Order: sequence, then C-alpha cells, then structure tokens
Amino acid sequence: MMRKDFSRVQVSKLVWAFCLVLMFLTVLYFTTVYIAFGSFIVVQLVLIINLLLASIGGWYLYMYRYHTKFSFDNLGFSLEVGKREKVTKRWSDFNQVSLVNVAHGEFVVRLYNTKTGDLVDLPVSAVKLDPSSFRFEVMRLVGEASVKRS
Amino acid sequence: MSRLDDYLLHLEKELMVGKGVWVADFKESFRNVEINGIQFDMVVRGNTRTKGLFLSRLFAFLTMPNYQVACLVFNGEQAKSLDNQFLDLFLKAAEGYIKKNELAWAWFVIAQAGDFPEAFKIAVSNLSIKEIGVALIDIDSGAVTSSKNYLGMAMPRYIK
Repeated sequence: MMRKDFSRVQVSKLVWAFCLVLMFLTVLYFTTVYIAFGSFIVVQLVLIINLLLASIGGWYLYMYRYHTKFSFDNLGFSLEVGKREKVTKRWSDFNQVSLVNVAHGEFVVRLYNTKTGDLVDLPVSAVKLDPSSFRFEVMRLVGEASVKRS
Repeated sequence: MSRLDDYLLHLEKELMVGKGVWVADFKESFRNVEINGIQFDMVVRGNTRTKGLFLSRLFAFLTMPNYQVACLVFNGEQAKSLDNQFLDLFLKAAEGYIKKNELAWAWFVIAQAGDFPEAFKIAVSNLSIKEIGVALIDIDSGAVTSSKNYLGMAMPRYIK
C-alpha cells in the first residue's frame, strides 16, 4: 500500500489560536497605554496592527500546538501534533482498536496494546477522515499485522 | 454491507451522539470482542456522568454518580440455537463482564434479521436481574422484546 498522508487545517483550532493571540495583544496594549497615559486610549491603527499581528501569531501558535499531520501505510503510521508530539509506530505494536467520542462529535481511533498497556489516539476528526470507516481500516491493518506476527 | 452491519452502525451512532446521550455518555466503541467464550459484535462503553459545556459539566459533576456502563450487541444468527441453555450461558458471560469491569449496569442486545423463537422471547421477558437489561431486536421488522426490569423496559426507545 502506498503511504497516505493527511494534513488539513483545523479551522476551529486556528480561530481559537487567533483569538488567544488577539486577546493577549489587546490586554498588553491597554495595560501599556493605561500605565503610560493613565487612561484607555483607543487608536484604530493600533487595533488594525493588533489584528495583523494576531493573524501571524495565531498561525504560528496553531502550527506549533495544534496542526496535525498523519500518515500511514500497511506497516505502520506516523502522527505529528504541532511541533511537540511525534509518534511513529507499527500496526503490529497493537492488538485492539476502538472508536472514541472525545467531545462534541470529535472522534479518535484508539489503539491498544493490551499486553503492555500502551495506547495511542489517532485524531481522525482533526485530519477530516471518516472516523467509522477509518476505524474498520485500522482494524484490518492491525488484524493483518497480528497474522504476520504470529 | 449486511443488514446487521448497518444496524450496528446505526446503534453505535445513536448511543454515542444520538438519543443515547440522555442515558449515559457512551464514548468508546469496540467491535468483535470475545467475552467468556461469546463473540459480541459490538461493545459500547461509557459512564453516567455526561459531559457538556462549563455549567452542564459542573452540574453533572456535582449531581450525577459516575457509574461505568456498557451496551453489548450480539448477532443472534451466530448462536446455534436460541434457547434457555444459550440464555444461561449468555447471562453468565454478561454477569462476568459486569463484575470484571465494575459496571453499574449493562444493556445486552441480541439482534438478528428475522423473528426470535417464542419460548426465547418469553424467557427474556421474564428476566429480572437488576443490573442487566436484555433486548431482542428483529432488524427486519424493528420488533423489540425486552426484559421486564427497569433497564430492559427503557431499552426499546434507544436501540431501535
């Protein structure tokens, strides 16, 4: 099987990152202005600059913390969440698969190794894969890997 | 895809993101799980402390007990014969699973395309184990026969 790559922009997480940076910049601006001049001064140009900076900062924050890259073939998979977390495993490392509703309709496919107690969550909703169908594909790959192993 | 597969997908969706959320937070679904020698086609696990946004989550935390629960589905066509002997085996497996996983209660669904034997339906109706609700569903007609205990009587609303 050819290696399949999935990497989609998660709009909700991107908006969240933008809002966080915008909030931070706004609080920073008003605090600085209040300390410097003793009152809150609203300057439209500064707000526009804040929006631009929040767009750039939000994008970097999103890429650093949330952006998910997932790739797999019939031997194993590689998962990268932001710049912090990278997991590369083989399907044969696992022997049980489940579909988990994490929150608000967001699903992960959970892989278990019941012997060692290891588990890995594949964030399928984050890469816009169909959770149910992908769960069956993972079950097939884990099943094939365990047949080869035995 | 067989009719049973369609039904399993439908039931899984209903439990995890549909009507089932009023009963429990069914959040994890396993397929083809063997329990004490019986192969269940689907096991959906959850707990009774439902999630939500901030206020509903706080309300659930303060007022709801955090019981572990499950819904297990068995394909009736896999059984050699649906009779009292099978029901005894089935209930033994069910009780073992509940004990092992420290569940407060569990729903057991036996699904098949076609009607169930009358004697089996009567035996299931007469079950009165507090922690176990059993229901038989004919996926062709949608007819449900459930145990007459509290758990069983609630089942038809959610498993159809």
